Amino acid sequence: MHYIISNNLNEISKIQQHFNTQSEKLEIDVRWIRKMNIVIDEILSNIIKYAYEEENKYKIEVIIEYFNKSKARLIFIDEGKFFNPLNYSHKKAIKNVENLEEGGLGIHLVVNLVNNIEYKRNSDKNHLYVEMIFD
Amino acid sequence: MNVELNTYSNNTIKILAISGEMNANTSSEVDNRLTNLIMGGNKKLIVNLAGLNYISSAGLRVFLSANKLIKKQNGELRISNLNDLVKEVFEISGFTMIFSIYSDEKDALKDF
Repeated sequence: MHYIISNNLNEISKIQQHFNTQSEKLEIDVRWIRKMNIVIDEILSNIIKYAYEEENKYKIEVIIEYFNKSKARLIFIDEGKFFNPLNYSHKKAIKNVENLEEGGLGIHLVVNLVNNIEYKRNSDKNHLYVEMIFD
Repeated sequence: MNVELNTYSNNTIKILAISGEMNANTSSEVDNRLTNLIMGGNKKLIVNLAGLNYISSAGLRVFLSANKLIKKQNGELRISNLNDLVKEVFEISGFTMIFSIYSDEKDALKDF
C-alpha cells in the first residue's frame, strides 16, 4: 500500500486512518495500533516540521511494505534536506529529557516503540524504515 | 481526534481530567488550560489521565512546560490514572523520573 500526503500536519491522520482500517481487518490488538499511530505521528511530524521550508508544497510518501497479524513495516520517504533521525543520541536523551531539542523526544519515542529502524539517503531522498513486531 | 477537558476542585486542589488524545493538533488546548490554571494561582494541581488513550511527544512537552511553570510558582503538579500505553510512553521518555505519578486520583490527593 502506497500513500502520498502533503507536508501538512493535518494530513497525518489520513495515514493513521489507513493503518487503523487495515489493523481492524487483521484484528490487531488495539495497543499495537495505538503504538503505531504514535510512530506515524512522530515521524511525519518531524518530516513536516523540519524537512521542508514551506508547508503544503511538498509530498511525503508512506509505504506499508508489509502488514500481517505478526508485524508491520513502513517506509517514510521525503525529498527534504538530509536528516537522519538516528543521529540523535538516544542514550543521552532519557537523562536529559527536560532539555531535549524539539523533535528529539519524538524520535526517542519512535526508536523505543519499534523493533527495527533504519535510515537511508537515496536519490536525494530520506528513507526511514520502521518495523513493529506484534508480540 | 479530539481532547476533552474537565476541571474541578477538591478543597484547595484543582484537578484537570483530560480525555481523548494529546497530539500536535490537540495539545495546545491542554497547554492553554494548564497555563491558565497555574497562572490563576492554583499551586496544587492534579492531572487525571484516566480518559487519555493517546499521547505523542507534543503532549509530553505540554506536561513538561506545565511542570516547569508550576514549580516557578512554588507549586506542584501530580499526574494520575495513566493507562498502560500512556504509562509506557512516560517510561520510555523518562517522564516517570520527572513527574510525581499516582495510580489514581485518590492517591494523588493524599498528603497534598
